[in-house]
Amino acid sequence: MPWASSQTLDRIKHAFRKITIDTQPNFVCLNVEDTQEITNILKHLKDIEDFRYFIDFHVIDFPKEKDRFLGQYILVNPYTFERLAVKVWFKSNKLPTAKEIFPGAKWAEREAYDMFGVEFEGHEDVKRMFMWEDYKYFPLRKDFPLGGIPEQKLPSLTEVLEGNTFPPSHDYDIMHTYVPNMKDIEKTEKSRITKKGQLVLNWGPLHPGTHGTMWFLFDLEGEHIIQTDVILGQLHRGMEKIAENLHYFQFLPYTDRMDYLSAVCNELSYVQAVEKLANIEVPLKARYIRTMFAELQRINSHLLWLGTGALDLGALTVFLYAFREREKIMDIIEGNAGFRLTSAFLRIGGVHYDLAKGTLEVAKYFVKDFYSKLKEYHGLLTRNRIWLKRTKDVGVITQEDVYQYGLTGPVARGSGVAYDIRKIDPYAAYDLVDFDIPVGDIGDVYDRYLVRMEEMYQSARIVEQCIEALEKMPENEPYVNKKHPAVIPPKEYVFNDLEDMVKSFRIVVHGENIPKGEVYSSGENPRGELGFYIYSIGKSSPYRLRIRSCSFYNLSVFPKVIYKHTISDAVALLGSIDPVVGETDR
Amino acid sequence: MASSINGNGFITTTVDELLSWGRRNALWPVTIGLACCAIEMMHAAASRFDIDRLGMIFRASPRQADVLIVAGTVVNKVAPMLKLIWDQMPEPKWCISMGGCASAGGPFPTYSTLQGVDRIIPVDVYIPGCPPTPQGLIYGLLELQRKIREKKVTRYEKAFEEFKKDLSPELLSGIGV
Amino acid sequence: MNDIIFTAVVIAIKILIVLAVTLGLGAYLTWYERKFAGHLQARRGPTVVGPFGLLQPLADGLKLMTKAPILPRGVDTKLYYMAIMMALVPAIMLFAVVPFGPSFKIMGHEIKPIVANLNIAILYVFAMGSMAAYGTLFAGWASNSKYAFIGSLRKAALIVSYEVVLGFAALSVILLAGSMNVFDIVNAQIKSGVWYIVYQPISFILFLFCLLAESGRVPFDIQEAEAELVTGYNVEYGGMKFGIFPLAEWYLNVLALCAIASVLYFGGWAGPHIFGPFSGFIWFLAKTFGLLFFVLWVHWTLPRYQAKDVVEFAWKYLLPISIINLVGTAFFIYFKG
Repeated sequence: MPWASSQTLDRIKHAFRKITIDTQPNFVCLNVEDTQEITNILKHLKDIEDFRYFIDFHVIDFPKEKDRFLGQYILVNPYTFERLAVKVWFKSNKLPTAKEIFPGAKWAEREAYDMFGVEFEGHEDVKRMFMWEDYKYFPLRKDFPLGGIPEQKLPSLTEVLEGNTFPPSHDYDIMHTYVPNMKDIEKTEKSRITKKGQLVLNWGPLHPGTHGTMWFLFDLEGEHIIQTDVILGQLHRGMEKIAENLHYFQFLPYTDRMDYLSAVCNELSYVQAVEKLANIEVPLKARYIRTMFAELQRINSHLLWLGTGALDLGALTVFLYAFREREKIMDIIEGNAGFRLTSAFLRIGGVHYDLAKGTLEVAKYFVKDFYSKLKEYHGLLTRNRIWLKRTKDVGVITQEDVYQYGLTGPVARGSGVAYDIRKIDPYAAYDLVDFDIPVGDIGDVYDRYLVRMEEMYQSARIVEQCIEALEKMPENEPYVNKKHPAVIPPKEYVFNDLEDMVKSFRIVVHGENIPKGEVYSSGENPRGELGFYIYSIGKSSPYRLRIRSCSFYNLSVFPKVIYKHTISDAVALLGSIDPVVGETDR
Repeated sequence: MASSINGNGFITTTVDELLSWGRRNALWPVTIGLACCAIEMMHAAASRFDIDRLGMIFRASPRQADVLIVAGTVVNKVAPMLKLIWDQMPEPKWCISMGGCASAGGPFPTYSTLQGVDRIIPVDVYIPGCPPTPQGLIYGLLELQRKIREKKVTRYEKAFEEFKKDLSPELLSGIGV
Repeated sequence: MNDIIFTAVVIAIKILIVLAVTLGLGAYLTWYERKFAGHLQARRGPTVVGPFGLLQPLADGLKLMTKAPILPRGVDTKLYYMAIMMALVPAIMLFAVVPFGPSFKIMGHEIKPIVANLNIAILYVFAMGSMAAYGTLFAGWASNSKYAFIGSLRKAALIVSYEVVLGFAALSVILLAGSMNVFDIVNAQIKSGVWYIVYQPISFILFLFCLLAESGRVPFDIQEAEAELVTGYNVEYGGMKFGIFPLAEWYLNVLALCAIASVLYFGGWAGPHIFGPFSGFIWFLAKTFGLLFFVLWVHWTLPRYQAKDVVEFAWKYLLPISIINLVGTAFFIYFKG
C-alpha cells in the first residue's frame, strides 16, 4: 500500500501549522503536539482528506519520557488507498476520545485502558476489555513483568489427589497469579449492561455456538435483542507482551496460535513486517511458496467457516464435508512443514524447508478435485430455500459501517468495499499471479457467504498459477535469503557448513539486532487485514509490537447490527463475521 | 467363568465390570473448545478420525456429558467458568487435558494464563502436543478407557473432601469451592 | 367368562409386545441413526462396541442409567420429574392405535394386531401428539434455565401451529375413507385398490411437515437448536432423565407418526403376498421404515428454520393450503358420490 503521498501531506501541513511530518520508508506519520487538537485533526482527515477508513488505534508506553504515552491512529483513504498514521503524545487520562468520529475506536480505546491504564475524555464506558473488573494492574506497561505477580497458592490437584511422588511428577511454581472467582466474573458482567428488556441471556463464554470463548450478553424482549455487549478476554494470552520479551524470530510460532485457522497467513504478515524493517530481500521461489501455502490456508480457513457456519444454522452434514477437504489441505501442509495446524513453516527471509517431493503433484490434484467439491457445497446451500431465508437480508452491514468500524476482509468486501491488501499493496508473489476480488452488493449474510465461496475459487486459481511457476523453477533455486545477517540459515546448511552453524548459533542464542525504526505492515488474512506495527529501538526484540487484529474490529460492529434481530439471526451474523477468539483476544 | 467368556470384552461377571464397560464405551465429551486444540478436537470428530466409532458423541450440555476435554489455553478469566462447567457435570466424570497449554501453561508463561488446568480441575489424562494431532487425542481417549477399566469407578468427591480439610479458606475461594 | 379372560390375556400380551418392541426399537434407532448419519457424512458411525457397533445402545443406556442423579438448584422438583413422564407416556401411547398388520385367527378367535381398536383413532393421535408438547413445556419451565425456557416456548408455539395443520391434512383422508378407524382406513384403500397418496399428495406433504415439526427434527428443531440454545429444553437434565427426551421425541414419536402416515397414505399393510403369512407385517414395517429413512435423510441434510419463520410458514402457507385441499376433497366426494 502506498503511504500518503507528498501532495496529501503538504495539504495537511498547510491546514495545520503545528503538526510535524515524519516520513520513513515504510511508515508515514503526523506528529500532533497538542492533545486537544487531535479531535479536529481526525475530523479534518476524515471529512476533507477522505481518510475515513479507520484501521487501528494503539498506545505505546515510554516510562522515561515527559509525556508517558504515545497514542497512534492508523487511517486509510478508501478511494486512493493511501495510508497515514497520526501520533499524539499524552499523559494518562488526557486524550479526548475518537469514538464519535470513528465508532471503531470505542473498543480500541477500551483495550488501551485495559492494557495501559490510560483514560479517555468523553468515553462513557471505559471498562476492562480483556481482564476482569477489579484487576489491579495494567499489563502492557513497561514496568509490569511478563509473568505477572504471583499472589495465590494454587497446587496441582492431580498431585494432591493422586499423591506426591519423588521425583515430583510436576515441576512447577506453587504460587500463581490471581485467578478470579465467580464474584469477579459476575461483577464484570453486571458492569457491562443495564437490563432494559425482559431477560438478559448469557450467550457464552463456553457455548457451542460462539466460535470459541466469546461471551455475549443479550438483553431480550421476547426473542428480539434490544441491547448487546460482548465480553472478550477469555483467551487473552498476552501475545503483545510476549513479543516484547522475545527475539524477532522467536515470536513467529506465536503468530500461528493467534488466528489458529490461518497459521501460514499470520506468519506471512509477520515475517513481511520484520523483513521490511530489516530490509531483507526474499528469493522468488520463497515468494511463490509463501503465496501457494497462504492460499491453501485461506481455502482451509474458509472451509472451516463454511462448516461451522452451516452447522450453526443446522446443516449438520456440510460440516463433515468441509472437514473432509480440510484434511487434504492439512496433509499438504504437514508434508512440508511437519505440522498440521500451527505449522511455523515460514522464516524471516524465506521458508523453513524446500518444497517436499511430490507436493506440487498432490496440490495439483487437490485443486483439480476441489472445483467439483466447491460445486457440491454450492449445491447443498446456495439455492436452498431455508438457507436463503436464514441469510438473505439478515445482518446488513453498510459501507459506512465498514469504514467507521474498520471492518476488513470478506466482511468489508461483502458490503461492496473492494479493500484487499493482496491487490493494493501486493506482497509475496501476489503481483505475479492473476486473480479477482469478489465484492458483495448489500452486505447481508448471504453476500458474505457468496464472497467467501468465490474467494475459495479464486484461491484455488492462485494455487494453480503458483504450481505452474514453481514447476518451471530449477531444483536448486534458493528458498531462503541466507546471506542477510538477520536470517537464520536453514538446517541443511547448518549441519554441513561451519560458518552457517556459527551464524545460526549466534542468532538463536543472542538474536540479531534489527535497525531502529517503525513499520506498519499488513497482510490479507482470510478474516481481514492482519497488521503488525513494530517499534524497534535497534535491539534484537521489538520495543512494542502491536497486532492489528481483523477479528477484533470485525466483531466490534456486532452490537450495532444485531439490534432488534433475534437470537437465530445472531448465530447467522456471527457465523458470517467469522471471528477467531485467539485473534480477538491475542 | 469370567475369563472364558470375557474374550469378546462384553460378557462380564461382576456388576462393576459391566458398569465400567458401559461407561468406557459411551464417553460423551462436552462441546467446549477454548483455543487451537479445539480445531483438532473437531477434526477428531470429523470424517477421517471419527471418534463416533468408539461410541463418543459430543454433547453441548455439561449435564449430559462424561468427559471434559480441556482443549486449549485456559486463561485466568475463563478458569472459574470452566470450573463451573466441571461442577455441573454429574459423576462419574473424567477430565482430559489436551495440549501443552492446558497441561502446564504451554508456551504462555504470562500474567493472564493459568499454568495448568490441574490447578482447578483434577485431570485424568494429559495429552502432550501443541496442538496434539487427532490421533493423539484418540490415543488419550483410549488411555482414559484403559484407566476406567483398571480403576473401576473413580470417586473424586471423596478425595476432594479430604483435600479440602487441609486448605485455608481464601485458597478455597480462589478455586471456586 | 372365558371370553373375557381370553380378551384380557390377549390385550396384556399385545401391550407387552408393543412396549418391548417399541422401547427396544427406540433404543436401536439411536444406533441406526448414528450409522446412517455416519455413512451419509463419509465416516463409519459406531463400529468398536460389539459387531458393527451393535452393542452401542446398551452401553449408552447402561451409562446413562448409572450417572449420578443431580437436581440443579432452583428447579421446580415436581414438574421437573413430571416432564419426563409427560414426554415419554404420550409417545408410547401413540403406538396403541398403530395396526401392525391384518387381523388373523388363533384358536378360532379373531385377533387384530392393535392394542386399542378405537373408532376415533386419528383423533386420539392428535390428542397424544399435543400431549407430548407438555413434556417439553414442563421441562423448560421447571429447569430454571433461560435456554430451556426459550426452547420450550418455541416448542409451544410450534405445536400450536402445526397441530392445526395436521388436523386439516388428516381430515381429507378421513373424508375419503369415511372413518377414523385405522382398520377401516386401510381396508378402504385395499378395497379401492389405490393408496390415498395418489388422491391426496398435498395432504401427504403437509402431514410430513407436521411430522417433522412435532418430533422436533430438522428443519424444525428450533427448540433445541444447538448453536443457539445449547440443547434447548433439556439442557438441565442429565443421565437417563435426559436420555428419555430424545428417545421419546426423536425416535418413538417419529416412529409412531411414520406408522400412522403409512396407514393414512400408503395403505398400511397392503401389498402383494410374497412373504407368506407375515407379508402384511413386513409391508407395514417396510413402509414405516421407509418414511423414517426419509425423515433422517432430511434431518442430516437441511439447515434449520428460524423460530418466527416456522410459525409464519404454518399459519400463512400450510394452513390455507390444507383448508383448500380439504374443501376440494369435500366437493370431490360430494359430486363423485
